Amino acid sequence: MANILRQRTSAPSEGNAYRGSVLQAGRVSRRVCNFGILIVAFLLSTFDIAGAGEAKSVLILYSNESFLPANISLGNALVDQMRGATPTRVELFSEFLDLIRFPGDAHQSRTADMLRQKYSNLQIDLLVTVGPQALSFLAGQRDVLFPDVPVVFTGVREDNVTWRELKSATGILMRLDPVPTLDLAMQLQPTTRRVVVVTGASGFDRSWDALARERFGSYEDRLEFTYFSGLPMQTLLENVRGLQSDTVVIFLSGFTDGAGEYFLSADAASLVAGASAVPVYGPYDTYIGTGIVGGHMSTFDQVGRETGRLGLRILAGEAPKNIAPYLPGNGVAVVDCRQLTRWGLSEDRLPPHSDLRFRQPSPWEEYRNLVLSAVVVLALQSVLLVGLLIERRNRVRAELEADETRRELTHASRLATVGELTASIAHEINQPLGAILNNADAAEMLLDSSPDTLDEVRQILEDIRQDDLRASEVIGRLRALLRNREIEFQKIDPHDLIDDVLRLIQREASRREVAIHTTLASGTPMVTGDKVHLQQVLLNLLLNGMEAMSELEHAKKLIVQTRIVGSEMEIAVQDSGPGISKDICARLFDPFFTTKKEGMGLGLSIARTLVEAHGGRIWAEGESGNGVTFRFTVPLARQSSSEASQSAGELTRELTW
Amino acid sequence: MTLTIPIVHVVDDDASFRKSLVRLLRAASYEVCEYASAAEFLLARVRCAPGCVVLDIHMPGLSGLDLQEGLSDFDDAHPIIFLTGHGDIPMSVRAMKAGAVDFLTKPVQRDSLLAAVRSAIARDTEKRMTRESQTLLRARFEKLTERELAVFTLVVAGKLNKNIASELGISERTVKSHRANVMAKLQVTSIAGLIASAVQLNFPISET
Repeated sequence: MANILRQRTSAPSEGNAYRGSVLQAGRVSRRVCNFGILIVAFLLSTFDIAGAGEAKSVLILYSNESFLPANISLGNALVDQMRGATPTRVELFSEFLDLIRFPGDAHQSRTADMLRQKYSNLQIDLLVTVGPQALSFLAGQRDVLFPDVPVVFTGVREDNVTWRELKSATGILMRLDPVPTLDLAMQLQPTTRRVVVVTGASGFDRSWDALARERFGSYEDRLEFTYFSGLPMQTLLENVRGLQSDTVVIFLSGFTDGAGEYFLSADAASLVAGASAVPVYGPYDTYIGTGIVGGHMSTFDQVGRETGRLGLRILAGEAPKNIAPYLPGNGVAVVDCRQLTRWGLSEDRLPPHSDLRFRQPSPWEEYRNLVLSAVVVLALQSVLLVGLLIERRNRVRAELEADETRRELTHASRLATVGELTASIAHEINQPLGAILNNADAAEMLLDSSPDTLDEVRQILEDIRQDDLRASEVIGRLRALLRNREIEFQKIDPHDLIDDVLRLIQREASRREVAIHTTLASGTPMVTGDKVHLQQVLLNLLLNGMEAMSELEHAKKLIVQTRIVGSEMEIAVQDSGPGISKDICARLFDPFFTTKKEGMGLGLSIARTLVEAHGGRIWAEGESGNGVTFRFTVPLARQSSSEASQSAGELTRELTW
Repeated sequence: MTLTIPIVHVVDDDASFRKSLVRLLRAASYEVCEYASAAEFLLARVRCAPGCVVLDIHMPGLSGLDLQEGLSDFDDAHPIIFLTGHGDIPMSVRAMKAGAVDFLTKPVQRDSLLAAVRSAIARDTEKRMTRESQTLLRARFEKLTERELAVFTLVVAGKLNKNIASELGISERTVKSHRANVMAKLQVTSIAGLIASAVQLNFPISET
C-alpha cells in the first residue's frame, strides 16, 4: 500500500492537474462560477457543432491485478493522457485479468465469457492491453469478443511474436534489457568485481534470467557473474546477506520464488534489498523506494503516457496498420538518493539527466522557507528597531528645535515689544545725547568768549558725565532685554525688577497718559528666576494694559501689585480698561490669539511659556466693563528665617506720571 | 518804536537737557527763559518781547504740538522751533503746516539750532516791527478829514489834480492844499511815499 501511494505521488499526472483546477474553480466566487457555466455551455455547444462525435469507449485489459504498482503507475498515466488531451469524451473501462496468478485455459475462457457478457451491449472503440499476457489472451479471444476493434498494446517485448500476428493492432514496445542497469551499477561502483543476478521462478522471471545471461556475456571477462535464479526466498536472502563488498546485486524480477510462493516483484525486490550486504540494482521504476539503489529504465509513467497518446491517434482515425509498434523512447537512470547515501555512492558519478528520487533536501533546501521567513522577520524587526531609533532621535531633535523656536519667538516678541517702545527709547537716549552735545557746545562758546567761565565749564563737564551715564544706562537696559538667550536662574529682588521695567516704560506710559501705581509686598522677598525673562513678562503685561486702555476717555490707570502667597510671589497688573469676557480670558494665552488689530498673538503665549518655565502660573481675571487683572506667580527664593519672619504688612508706593 | 531784547523760551520736561540748552543759548548771548512744561509756558503769558520758542514734542500733559495749536489763536505768538528726541514725518508735517519755523531732532547741531533761533527771532522782530509801524500809520490815517480821505483815495488811484478837482467839484488849488495836508498828516514827502502807505494799510487802489 505504501508503494501505491508513493507511486501515485511520484507520478505527477495531467489528470491530477485537471482535478486540481476543478477544485480551485469551485473555490471562486459565485459570480465567476456563473460566468464559468456560460463559458462551459458555449464550449459544449462548440464541440457539438465541431462534430466531435459521441463518447468513445476504451477498454483496457491489464494482465495483472489492479494493485500491481506497475499497473497503477502505467494505468494512471494512460488514463490521464487519454482523458486530458482531447475534447472527445473518452469512456474508459478497465479489466484486470490476473492472468499470471491464474494461468490456464479455464481462467481464460471464464474471463472471456465475463467480458463478452459485460460488454455485449457496449460499442468498444479501442482495446488497450497492458502486458504480454493480456495481449496473448486477446489474440486468442479476439474474434469472439471484439472482432474488429483496433488494439493498442503496451508492455510487450519487442521479441514477442503475438503482436506480429495480430491484425489491426499497434502498440508500445518494452525493451527488456539488463545491461544499462548493470552499466549504471558499474558507473556508481567502478571497483565491482562480482555481479549477482537475481530472478524468480515464474515464466516471466525466467525470461529475464535468460536475457540477462545472454546480454551479460560480454562482461564476463571483467566481472564474475552469479545467477540466483528461482531460489526460495529464504535461501535467496541468506545468500545475499553473505555477499562480499566487491559485489553488486542486479534484481531483475521475482513474481514467484523457488518455493512456489507468489510475490509482487517490487516486494521481492524490497526483501532482497533489505537483506543484501551490498547495493542492489533493478530495471523497474516500481522498485525505486524498495531499498534498491536504482536502475536504467523506461518508467511506467512514461510508457503509460506514450500508450495513451497512441490510443488517441487510433481513436482520431488513424489505422493501426499504418503505425508500426515502437519503443517509448530511451530510458533514464533512476536512483534512490537515500540509497546512494546509505552505500556512500557519489551523485557525481551518475549519467547526465538522471532521475533522482527521494532526494533529501539539504538543510538549506529543507528549511529555506523557514530560514527566509526568519530572516525576513529579523530584517523587519531590525528595520522597525532602526525606525524607532530614528524616530526617537527625530523626536529629541524636534524637541530641541521646539526649544530653539520658542527661544527665537521669545526673542522676536521682545524685539516686537521693543519696537513698540521705539519712540520712547529713542527719546530717552537722544535726550542725554542732546544734553551732552549742548553742554559741550556751550562750554566751547564760553571758553571762546571769556576766560572767567571756568566754574561754569566745570559744572558743564560734570553734567556731560551724568548724561553720558544716563545714555549708556538706557542702552544697557535695552541690550539686556534684547539678548537672545536661555533661561538663567538667579536670586532676584522682584521690586528692583519692577523698578527697572517701570523706568523703561515710564516714557511710554507718559506718552499714553497712563498713571502707574505700585502696591508692593513689604520686606525684601527674593524670587528665583531669570531677570530678563521676568522683565519681559511684566513689560508685556504693562504694554497690554496700556493698549487695552488706549480708547479710554477717563483716567488711564495701571496698578502693579505684589504679594506673597505661600511659597510664591504673585505679581498682578491691573488695568482700568473696558475688560473682557471670561471665555476670552481663557483663550488669551493661546498662541496667535489676539484681540489687537495688529497684534501677533504671541506676547501672552510667550509670557506663559516663560512663567511656566519658572515653575509659576499666569492667568487673567476680568469681566466686561471692569478692566482686566493679569496675575503670575514666581517661586520665592529660599530665605533665612529672619527674613521670613518679617511682617507681612504692605507698603504702598505710588508713582504717577 | 520800542526796542526790546529778544528772548528764547525753552520748553522741555527733561531738566538735564533743558539746562544744557539754556546754557548753550546763553553762551550765544540770548536771553533765555525756561519752562518745564507747556502749561508753565502758557501761565507765564509772555507775549510782548520778540523771540521764539524752542519746544519739545513729547511731554507729559500738553504736548508740544498741543501748545502750538493753542498759541495759534494769538496774533502775537512767537515762532516755534520744535526739538524732539524722536520725531516722525507725520509729526513734522503737522508741525510745519501749523507754522513752525523748524523741526529739529535731538541731539541737535549747534549751528542748526542757532541758525533756526536767529532766523526765528529775526522773523518775529520784523513781524513785530511791521505790526508796530502799521499801528502807527493807522493812527495817522485816522486823523484825515473826510475831504482829505477822498483826495488821498483819488491821488493813490493816479488821478491828476484837475481831474480830482472836477470830480469833487472843488478848485484845483483846494485839491493841492488837501494833498499837502494829507502828506503832512501821514508824514510822507512824496507821492511814492503816499502810495507806499496806502499799500501798507491795504488801502484799495483803483485803476480808474
